Amino acid sequence: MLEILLSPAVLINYFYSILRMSTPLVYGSMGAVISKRAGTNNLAIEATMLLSAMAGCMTSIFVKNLWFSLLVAILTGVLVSLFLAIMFLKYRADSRMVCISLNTVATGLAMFVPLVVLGAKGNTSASPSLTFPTWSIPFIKDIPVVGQILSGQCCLTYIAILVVIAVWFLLFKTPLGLRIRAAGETPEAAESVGVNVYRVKLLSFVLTGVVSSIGGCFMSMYYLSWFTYGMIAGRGFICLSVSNLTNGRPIMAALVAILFGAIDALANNLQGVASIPADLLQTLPYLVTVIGVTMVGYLDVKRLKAEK
Amino acid sequence: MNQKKTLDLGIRSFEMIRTLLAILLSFVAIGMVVMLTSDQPGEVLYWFVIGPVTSIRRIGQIFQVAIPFTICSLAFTVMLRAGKFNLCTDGVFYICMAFASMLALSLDLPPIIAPIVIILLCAGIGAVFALIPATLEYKWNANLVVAALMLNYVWLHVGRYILLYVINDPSLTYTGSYKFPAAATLSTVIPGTSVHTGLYAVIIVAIIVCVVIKRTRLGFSVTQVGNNLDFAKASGISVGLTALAAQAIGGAFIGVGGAVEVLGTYKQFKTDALLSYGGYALLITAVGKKDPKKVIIASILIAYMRAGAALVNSKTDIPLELADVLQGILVIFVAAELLFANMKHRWIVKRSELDIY
Repeated sequence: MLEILLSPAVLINYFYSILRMSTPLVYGSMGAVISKRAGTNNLAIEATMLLSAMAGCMTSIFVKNLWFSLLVAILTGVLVSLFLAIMFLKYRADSRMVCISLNTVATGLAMFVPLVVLGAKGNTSASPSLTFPTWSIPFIKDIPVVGQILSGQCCLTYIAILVVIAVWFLLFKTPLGLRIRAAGETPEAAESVGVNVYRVKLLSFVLTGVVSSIGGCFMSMYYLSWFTYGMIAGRGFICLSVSNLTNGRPIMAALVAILFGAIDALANNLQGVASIPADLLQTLPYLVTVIGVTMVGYLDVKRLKAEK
Repeated sequence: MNQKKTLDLGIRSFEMIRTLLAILLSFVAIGMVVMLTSDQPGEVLYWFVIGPVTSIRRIGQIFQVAIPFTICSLAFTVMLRAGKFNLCTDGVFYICMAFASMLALSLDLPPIIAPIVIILLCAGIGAVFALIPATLEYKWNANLVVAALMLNYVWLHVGRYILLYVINDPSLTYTGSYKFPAAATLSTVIPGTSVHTGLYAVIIVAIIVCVVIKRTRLGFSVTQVGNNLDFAKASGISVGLTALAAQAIGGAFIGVGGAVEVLGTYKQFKTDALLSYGGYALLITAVGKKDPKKVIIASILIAYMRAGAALVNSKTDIPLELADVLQGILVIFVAAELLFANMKHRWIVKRSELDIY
């Protein structure tokens, strides 16, 4: 079994699938990072991704335009985020309650909307929808092995790199980023120097919606070429723990997201080869997330003690 | 003078009125969706509102749904009263259903004894599983919400493994375990309905929760830890252990719920996805404001709603999933503390004006 696992073709395929599996996690993590910097543990990334995955895929069924579908998906993500933000910033709802319920609402809508529009419950596989193209990268694609891994990925995978850099730049090199971080760390101090904390936080939620909805789109318009209601499968929560694990540092978060993607890919690739039942392998990403959040908590306590 | 009294009453019962308004608002929102998407909105309204009480069997259905709702909500209430947002309900419920099925198929005990033994064992199992995320938080400060939710997926897959590889009956055309021996199942309480003896388990759990929370030292400590951590510490309560005890009690109840559900309602293990009782527990606890008695009443009301939604699902073109949307929106509006807060403010202003003149 080990020989099959370590053959070059399987290994290349594995490394290729790492980048594929980690793309949605990178987008979601960037969303979680922005929220975290603005002072919120955004448990609703899951709902944002799910609803935008649905919106993007279903738009592309009716309007055969890829980038317009992406735009609709992003708008959906922004709306979900804004709803969440208004509910808990303006109406002071417990953010955990709102987020968890938003996830329930999202799952319900993910079943209901395809049924009403297409006649299939929670599934659009019967209606042809568009998918994002793969890009082959000049020069790199000609290098053996490396080319096979790095080239020919979905265009959103390459755009993810730009998004990570953009998020880092936004948070650490622009006045807005400074305001977001100030509003997140010490809202009172930010308020006292004239920052409109409410507006800055609202804006950070909009940005979270934009970024994480692209991750949702990747799931329904490349990873699978249709939408199903369970397709996000806890990825939103993995993204949240990634952002916590890295303390809201975008570049680190992207790297850790790739690490989680690697575990995801491992669980996926082993299914065909190993004799371990698929259900037990599928617990792997979740177990790793649990270990991840435990580590975050432990390190946080340690850092606090060191600061004292 | 009369006006003054009405206003006083309004301010005092504001919380209740606000909750009712929030419920109304979410029903209006969902009602609009129904109007837009359904060809038979009148039918939908009829089956949702009147449907559940149109026959003895349907009334029974309300109580059958209310059994797991009440148990899970009371469990969540206990856990939440200790200030822990432990969302382990879905996963623990599912894994306890799986374990109860395994026990029912392997233990060879006489009737009445068998279900009691299984339910008690599952209570223990549930306590352990609910303690896992709580202990991760207590020991290493892990994010409880994320840990509990992720573990739900783990338990789902472990439970599915049990279903598919351990107790799977290959002769069935669907995925399911062997049928339980009659001795291990719960019998029907009211003939002609699906209400099973799990009802007694609910009553016992309800009494335990009411007594423990209101009348014992542990219950008082739990509430104190949840309400004001610093005060609890200052008054010498061992905060961490009290919170853990509450999680164990809650988990035990969820275990009872899972066992009762699979032994009473299904009589065979065939669920291959998480049942969303955790979401309903959250809703019911939010509506019932963490007060055991109100939670029990809310459980029955929400079970009525759920039974209505199930009827709408089978009788009209509106699917059951819309109930999930309704449930989520309900929680959000009920949880939004400042929604309708203006109203209270206006009341207070009016009241003070009355005092002046």
